[in-house]
Amino acid sequence: MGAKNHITVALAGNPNAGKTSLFNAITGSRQHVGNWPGVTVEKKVGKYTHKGIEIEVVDLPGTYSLTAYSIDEIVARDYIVEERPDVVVHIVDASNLERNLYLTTQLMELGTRVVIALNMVDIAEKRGDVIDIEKMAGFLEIPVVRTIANIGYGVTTLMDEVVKEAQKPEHHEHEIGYGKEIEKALVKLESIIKRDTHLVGIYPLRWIAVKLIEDDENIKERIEFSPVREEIEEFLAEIDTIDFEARMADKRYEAINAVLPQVLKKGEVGMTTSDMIDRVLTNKYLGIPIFLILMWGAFELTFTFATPFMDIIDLVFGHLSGWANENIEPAWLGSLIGDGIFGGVGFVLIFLPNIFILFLMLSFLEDSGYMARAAFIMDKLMYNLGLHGKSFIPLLMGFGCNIPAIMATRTIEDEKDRLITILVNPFISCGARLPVYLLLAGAFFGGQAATVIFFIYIFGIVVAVGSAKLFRSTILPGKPAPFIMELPPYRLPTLRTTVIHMWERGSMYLRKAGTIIFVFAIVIWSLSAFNGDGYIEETEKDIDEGELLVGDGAFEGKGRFTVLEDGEGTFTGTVLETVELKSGTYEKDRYYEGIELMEEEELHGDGTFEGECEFLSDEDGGRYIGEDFTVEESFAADIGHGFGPITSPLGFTWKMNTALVFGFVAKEVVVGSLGVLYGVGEDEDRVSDSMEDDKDFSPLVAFCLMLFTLLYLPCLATVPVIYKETGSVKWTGFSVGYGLVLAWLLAFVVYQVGSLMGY
Amino acid sequence: MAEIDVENEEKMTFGLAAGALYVFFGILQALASTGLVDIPLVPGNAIGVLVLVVIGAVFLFGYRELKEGIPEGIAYIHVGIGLSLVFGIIYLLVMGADAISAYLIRSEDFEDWSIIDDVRPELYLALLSLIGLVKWRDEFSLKGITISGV
Ligand SMILES: Nc1nc2c(ncn2[C@@H]2O[C@H](COP(=O)(O)OP(=O)(O)OP(=O)(O)O)[C@@H](O)[C@H]2O)c(=O)[nH]1
Ligand SMILES: [Mg+2]
Repeated sequence: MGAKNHITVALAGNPNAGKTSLFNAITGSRQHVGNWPGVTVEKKVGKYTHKGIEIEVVDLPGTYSLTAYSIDEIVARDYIVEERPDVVVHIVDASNLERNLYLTTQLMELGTRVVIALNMVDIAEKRGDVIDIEKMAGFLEIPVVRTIANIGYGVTTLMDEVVKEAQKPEHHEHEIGYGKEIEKALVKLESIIKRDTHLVGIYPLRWIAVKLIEDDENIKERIEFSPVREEIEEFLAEIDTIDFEARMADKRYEAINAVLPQVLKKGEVGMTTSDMIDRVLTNKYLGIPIFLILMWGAFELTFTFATPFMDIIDLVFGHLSGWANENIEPAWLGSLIGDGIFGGVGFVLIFLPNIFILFLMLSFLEDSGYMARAAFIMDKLMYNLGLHGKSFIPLLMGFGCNIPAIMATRTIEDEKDRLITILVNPFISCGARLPVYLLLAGAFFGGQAATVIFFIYIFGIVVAVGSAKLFRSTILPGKPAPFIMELPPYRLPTLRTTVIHMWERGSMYLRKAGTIIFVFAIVIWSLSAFNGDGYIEETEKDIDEGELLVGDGAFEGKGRFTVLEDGEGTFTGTVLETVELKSGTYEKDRYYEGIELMEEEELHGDGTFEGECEFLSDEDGGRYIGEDFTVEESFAADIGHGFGPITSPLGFTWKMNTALVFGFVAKEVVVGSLGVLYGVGEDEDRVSDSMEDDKDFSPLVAFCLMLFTLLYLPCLATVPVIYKETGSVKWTGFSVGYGLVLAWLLAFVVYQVGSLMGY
Repeated sequence: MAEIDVENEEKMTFGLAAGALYVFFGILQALASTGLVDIPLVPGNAIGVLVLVVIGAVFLFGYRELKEGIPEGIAYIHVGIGLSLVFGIIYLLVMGADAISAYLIRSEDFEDWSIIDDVRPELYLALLSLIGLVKWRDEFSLKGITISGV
């Protein structure tokens, strides 16, 4: 083999050993890192040039051995075994040597060129462990380099070794002695396999033999069409493969344990801080309650702490929107910019502070190590509900976004477990749904908003696990597989890391606001500003004689009050009570604009007032505006009304229907659409105020709308991911249909019962 | 029963006191949450009750273990202090945010707001834990906890 100037290097190792951290340190990229096993589920490729040599670095999911069970492990195994990278960097967690070296023995047998990155030496050394790396390298005949991946320590030395290893002219395979009986079987098998010339070129003979005894699925597939297949099968039937396999694993551990004491001097083994914390956080009785209150704490921050920042953004966009409407000509353009863009997109951006705080919490959850504990404490409960603890991690990740969450199910070995976890994941309320709750709860539940939202989130979890139970006992019967999961030591996330993680996810929300939500805000605006006759002009109906005549009378109203002169003012808003006037009628719940008030009126703090007034005559420019008369006649209204028969039992109006239809694209669009629909033709600065003015929009309806949004559909981006991960149109369709039906049923029950109870 | 050293005995007393206080205020808050009684400085909030009772229970678990001579019981006292401080900080932040709404933005919803409205048990009970933290600060050095980074 001559000098190479292009080499491929795979990063392999046990889950959570620091592979991705090392990958990031080498390539300068920012792949997702987290303190729990199973973060990476796909291979990621990066480029790096070391001393003029181009190196293709591949980050792999974690795996404990080369016998793969779950999809993420299969990805790692296939890459190492089938693609044959020039060098495998085996990332070994120095604080967990014995278990990590098991994979080393397998890599050695495979005959790959291996360089060991002895990672997390900082942890091991802090604990007082002393590792003699010279001896380790000597015994294993593999170069060993100390690294601390998260700070990039040791990377250059490591890459030096990698290049050296790749250039080495020859490479000899390592063998582990398995004892007389097994060795005899191996020799026999090898002699049979040797006759399949095709197979011999690909893998080392001995390795094939070992894998055959281990009943490895992939190798068995490989010999499917081999001329020696029958002979192999006959031979395997003669020996007790299960016993052999167990003895081989023992032998590997024996080999490790022969080396280990000479290499590693263990430090004090007392109770570590992590163990102390776990005594409490994973306590049988306290674990789940503590989890719940921590979640609640996160909510208080997400909701309450963000309020002033939301208000500022809200005010800014409110002013921009008002300004555009009044100053930009022609009127349709003013409305497009004011109501469509500032109204729709701005309305979504209001919730940016909440989104960022939510993501900050999730980063902390992932980086601290609590994620794995959450899975652990939920295991028993989950098992009884037909899922296992590991499924809880994708559920928690779903609070951020359902897409990576569904991908994370790849770590689940059992196909049914995995399918169930995928199917119930969309019920976990992702970040995109948060703005919908914030808007509705903020407008209709005041001081109880945080509690209501917390309830919705918890309800999402309840529906998810409830559905899992349902699937288990009907369409996907069976028992969840037993669950083993490592609890990594707690780590204190640095502010920098947490902020970077938060920014990476939060900026996605920003990007979405600038692209998809922007486009749909314009679409919705167009639909709401046009009808079959073209653009709906802002009709300011002049007051016809006879319809409303000049006169005076008393009424009660709610709205804005502008002082014209001392003691005089104009009222704009909704009339709360129908009043007969000498010369006309004010109808209850209708919207009026420009009513001249006669005397100094008392304006109550909540915007209502009572008093005498006078109609303006038409010469004075009096206007009467029927409720949303422009939007009422638009295409958007046609769409919304079309769904009326389906959603009226849930108390939804056409505006909500239209918003929900477009919300399929992305849940934030629900908020953007409501922003546009309640902004167009309305005069309120704040859209939430005009929502409160809508008489069909009661707290009960708002609550049902939140429930419906939580459950009704996975978003447009999630559907193809469900398809990809389940590989089935049927299950994808099921996921969509089930959500819709469930959302409708639950909203129906809540609305009907609530109405009966008088809410 | 094993020998209890002085330090653990202090922690035991602390656990009992803090645990009892948290549970006591939890009960008060539960009463306030029913809306039947008005207790000053204890706003009604059903989930707040859960928070107080759980933190109280953590302290009491610690007290019980230490009393039984299990030295690892201090883990509960430490984590209890930690949880109590976490909630103290959360409500301090909430109070700060509300103050911004009331005084800087002058939001309508906060017209009648005063700082007293945001004083709640999670906040003032955390002072107790602050004392614990200062007293035993050496043990809170997070030794053995490494930093996680990119
Ligand atoms: N103290 C310390 N922490 C490390 C080191 N290397 C990685 N970490 C931390 O260990 C955790 C796991 O790191 P990852 O890079 O995500 O590990 P991984 O091997 O890619 O994990 P999976 O993708 O889940 O298999 C993160 O919290 C890192 O910050 C190290 O050398 N020292
Ligand atoms: Mg990784």
